[in-house]
Formats: sequence, structure tokens, C-alpha cells
Amino acid sequence: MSQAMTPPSTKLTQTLAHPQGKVQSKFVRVLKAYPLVFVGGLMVLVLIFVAIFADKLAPFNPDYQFANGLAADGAPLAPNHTFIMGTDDLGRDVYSRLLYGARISLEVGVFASLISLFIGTSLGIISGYYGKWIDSLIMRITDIMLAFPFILFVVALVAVLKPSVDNIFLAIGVLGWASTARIVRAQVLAVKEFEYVQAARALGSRQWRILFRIVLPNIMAPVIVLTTLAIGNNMLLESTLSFLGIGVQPPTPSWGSMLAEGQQVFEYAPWLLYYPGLALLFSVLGFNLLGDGLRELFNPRRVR
Amino acid sequence: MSEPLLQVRGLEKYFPIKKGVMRLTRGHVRAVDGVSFDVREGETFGLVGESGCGKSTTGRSILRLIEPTGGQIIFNGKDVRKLGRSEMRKMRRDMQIVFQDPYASLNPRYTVRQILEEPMIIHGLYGGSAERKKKVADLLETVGLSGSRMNRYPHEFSGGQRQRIGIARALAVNPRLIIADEPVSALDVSVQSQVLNLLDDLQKEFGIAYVFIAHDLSVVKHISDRIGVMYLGKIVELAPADGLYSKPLHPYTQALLSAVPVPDPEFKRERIILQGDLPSPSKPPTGCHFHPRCKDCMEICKTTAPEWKEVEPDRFVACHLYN
Repeated sequence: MSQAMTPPSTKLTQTLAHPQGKVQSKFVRVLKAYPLVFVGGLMVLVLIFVAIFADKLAPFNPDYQFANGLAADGAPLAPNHTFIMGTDDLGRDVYSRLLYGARISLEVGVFASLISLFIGTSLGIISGYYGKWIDSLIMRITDIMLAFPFILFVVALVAVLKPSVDNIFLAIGVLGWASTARIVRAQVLAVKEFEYVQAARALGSRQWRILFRIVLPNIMAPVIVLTTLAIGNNMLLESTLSFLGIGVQPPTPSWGSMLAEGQQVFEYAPWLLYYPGLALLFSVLGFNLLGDGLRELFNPRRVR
Repeated sequence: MSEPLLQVRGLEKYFPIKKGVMRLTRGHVRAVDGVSFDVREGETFGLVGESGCGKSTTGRSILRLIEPTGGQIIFNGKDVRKLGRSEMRKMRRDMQIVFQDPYASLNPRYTVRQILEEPMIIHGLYGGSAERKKKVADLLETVGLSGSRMNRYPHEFSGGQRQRIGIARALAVNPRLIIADEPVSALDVSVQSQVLNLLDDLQKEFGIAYVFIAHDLSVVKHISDRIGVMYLGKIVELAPADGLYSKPLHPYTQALLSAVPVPDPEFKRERIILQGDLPSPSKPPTGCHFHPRCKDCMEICKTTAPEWKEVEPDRFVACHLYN
């Protein structure tokens, strides 16, 4: 009887002393609990690496039209030893173009999202914290932004600004803040009613201190997740614009313009759609997985 | 007797009710409707009443966390409502608040050390970071927690421990008055008494005055020197704690006290059950606000509001029975 009793109590003491067996850093624990974060983060890192070192990694000049890059009948070459992802209908190396295209995609995705983040967060905070007429005004503008067909809006703005990489991310960023503003406002409304915000007021904090040191850190988690997801989305949007012909102008390689050029010949050269399509899938999936993981990492209570 | 530390005179907070597309004001919710009381240096003033009677609104109005719509709040000889922003900030060193919900009142992203350093940084107390750290450890020890746990986050503490942290935060600026807004209502009964005793000890040690807001009469009796009973935005009776419990004057107080359980199975007492619901503070009854539920209701109660009178030394009541 007494022998039977001993092991459980010892085990209990050990469990109490070391609930997780051994002390691990929060980072490691999050990785263990959410392995997909790791996968997503790795995918994003690969993308960033490729974008930075595209000129070193690419075997050829992406814009060079190879004389031996086309078949005798003028058709693109299928993947082979020289051109590992084949060539396009102008005899350019698809692999090199794909690597350079990562630059455009990432640049547009990241900068557009940062612009949206900045505008959306500023407007959302003002709207949520100060309320009253300024809240109504900002939210009505947000309603208009959300009600308007987004692509149409961007197309119109890019057309006015002249298509270029800079103007694309400017247009996407300047027009894409509405959902961020909504989420930030909702978060601020919820957080500012918490008693710790009241406590800060009771302690005599100045308004900027309450806004930036207390409210902002407590609302950033969903905003960062949203922004990470938005990077993937904006990369898709850049492709859409380039596909429609108002994005990156030829001969600059972008995944969207590669898809646009490829669709005319995809019946006999399907690799022209596969590779840019897969690259897009890879990047967007990477950012989405990372975004989901960050949400957990930013939650101080979920992982102990 | 010396000047009271806090004098509240005719405090009012009306919340506008807005309706329709134009958001026009159609009437007011009279959450606090002419509340007056004094709090003396180092004493505990209990404020009791049903939920929704305006206790918390009163407490927060005194600190101007909710801007009052009328009345005077004289703290330490100054009218709090007339203070400018920077004067108000200085004043906040002397007046602090402890909240009801120990889970919502601590910033989840700050460590306990950051939470307790915040008031020191705001008011520029205790110079450097090392000095502040020492003070944080002192504060934690004062409220019965180990200083070694200052680098933990609030979610790593229990409800009672969090409430102690909330108290430590209020103490960080050495206040003379703490408004305790139902500080133990969210805690287990066993933890309640610990926190009450802590508040009591702190008062003895530092001479802090409390405005103790609660709906639990036994809790209030335990800790208060004087008690105000609120009903529908008004104080109906104000008396020293012993007097109030041994001889309640106002019929509402009598009904409340008859509901306090007595730990004696043999004890039989007339239980006064209040009829009806708490009326809406946007449409309070005519005359005495309590008359529709009062067991001693007279004709005059339906038409005329009773006067606030000192019927015995230090005992105030607003009821026609004592006119």
C-alpha cells in the first residue's frame, strides 16, 4: 500500500517543481507548440534571401533574349539543362526572371503594407480614442473605401500616376488602409475601457503616454498579424495589376507580368504559368503561416 | 475638528440619453444626483448600495475619471473640478483608486515592476532606475508579496495577489486618499479577508483615508468608520458604522440590513423584503425616490422629496419619518 502510494506523490512533486520538465525560452516553446510558424518563417526568409541575392543567384540576365532560347518553330523551350525552368516566348530564361521577380513582389508587398499599416493605425487610433465627430468622419471615409471596388480604385490611381513599381506600392498602400483602420479602431475601443487604462489616467499619465505606451502595445498583436497577411495579399495584388498590364512594365520581370505573357502560349508552354504561380503560392502561404504564428507569439497568455 | 480631507457637495453626474438619427439628447440618466459627504483624514468612509445606484460613478467622479456634471469636490482645500490639467496631475498623487476587477486593472503587457514603476516615472519620483527598483521591491513587501517576483507578468499571479499589486500601484505615489471601488467583490471569501486586513494595516501604518465602495454590508461594516447608504443616485442615510448597524433609521437601510445573514441558526429576525425592482434612474419616482418600495410610505413621500437632515449628532437621514 505504502509502496503504491509513493510513486504518484513523487511524481506530483516533480511536476509541481518543473511544470514543463525544464525551463525553455518562450521562443522555443512557441516553435514547439506551433511548428507551422517555423515553416512560414523559413519560407519568408527564403523569399527575402532570393530577393536580396537575385543578381548572384540568377544564372543569366533576366532580360536577355537568347538566340538558342527558342525552338526552330519559335516556340519556347521546355525545362532543360541550360534553362532549368525553360524559356519564355521571347527566349528569356524563366528561372532568372523568377528570381528577379521576387524583388518586385516583395518590395511591393512590404512597402504597400507598411504604408497601409501607418495610415490605418493612425486613423484607427484617432477614431477609436477620441470618438465623437472625428470618429464618425473617419469611419464614413473608411466605409467609402471599403465599398469601392478596390482593384478599380488602384487601377485608376496607377493610371493617373503612370505605372511603375514605386507608384504601384504607393497606390496599394495609400488605398489599402481601410481594414487596418477598422480593426485598430475596434481594438482601441475595447482596450480603452479596460481598467488599466483608467488606472493610468488616475495615476496622471499624459494622453500621449496612455496612447503610445499602454493602448498601442495592447492592440498591436492583431494589427501585426493583419499586416503580415496583407503582405501576401499585396503581392498577389501586384501580380494582378501586372497581369492586367498596368503594373510593372516590360521588360522588368514580375510574377504577374510573367503570368500575363505566359497565358497566351500556355497550351504548349504550361511551365510559363506553373513556376510564377508556384512562386506566388509559396510566398503568400509563407506570409500567412507566419502571420498565424505571430498571433500566438504576441499573446502573452496563450503559451506559458 | 479639523477640516475634512475630502468634502463632496451636491455631486451630480447625468449621462445624456441620445436617440434618433440626429442624436438629440432626450433626457438624462441621473447616475449620481446630489451626493454630499465628508471624508476625514485617515478614516474609512463606506459607500453601500444596490448595483446601479451610482456608487462607482460617485467614486470615479471624485477622481474625475468620469467628468461630473455638477457639484463640488473639495480635496485638501482645493476644488478638484476647477483644477487645470497639470494641477490635476499633481493632485492625483494624493488621490488614488483600487479597482474591482484585478484581471482588468493590470496591463497584461507590463511586468509587475513596470506597472509599479509607471507612477514613479509619471511623477518623477525616486530618481534613478536602481532606486525605483528598490522602491518596487519595498512596495511588494508592503502588500505581502515577495519582491523577487517583480519581473513576472500579471497573469502569473492569482486574483488576490493581483489585487495586492493593484493596491501597491496605488501606494506608489504615497496617496492620502484611496478610492477602493469594490476591491474585494471579485475575490474568494477567504482571500477577501486577507485583502481587507491588508487595507486596514496600510491605513494604520500610513494614515490613508479610504472611500470604500461595496455592496456587501458585512464587508463594509468590518472596515468602515462611517457609512453612507446610496439609493438611486442619492445618499439616503449617513451614520457611524456601529450606529447604522445597531439602529438603522431609513427604511431602505433597515431592509438592507435585514438581508445580512447572521451566523446563528436559532436567530429569528423579521426579514423586510423589498417590493418591486430598482426604478430606472432616467425616470426616478416623484417625491422620495424610495417611496414605491417603502414599507412606511406616507402621502407626503409621493409628492415631496425629503430633506437631508442631521437627526442625531453625526447621523444624517433623508426620510419624512424623521421630520
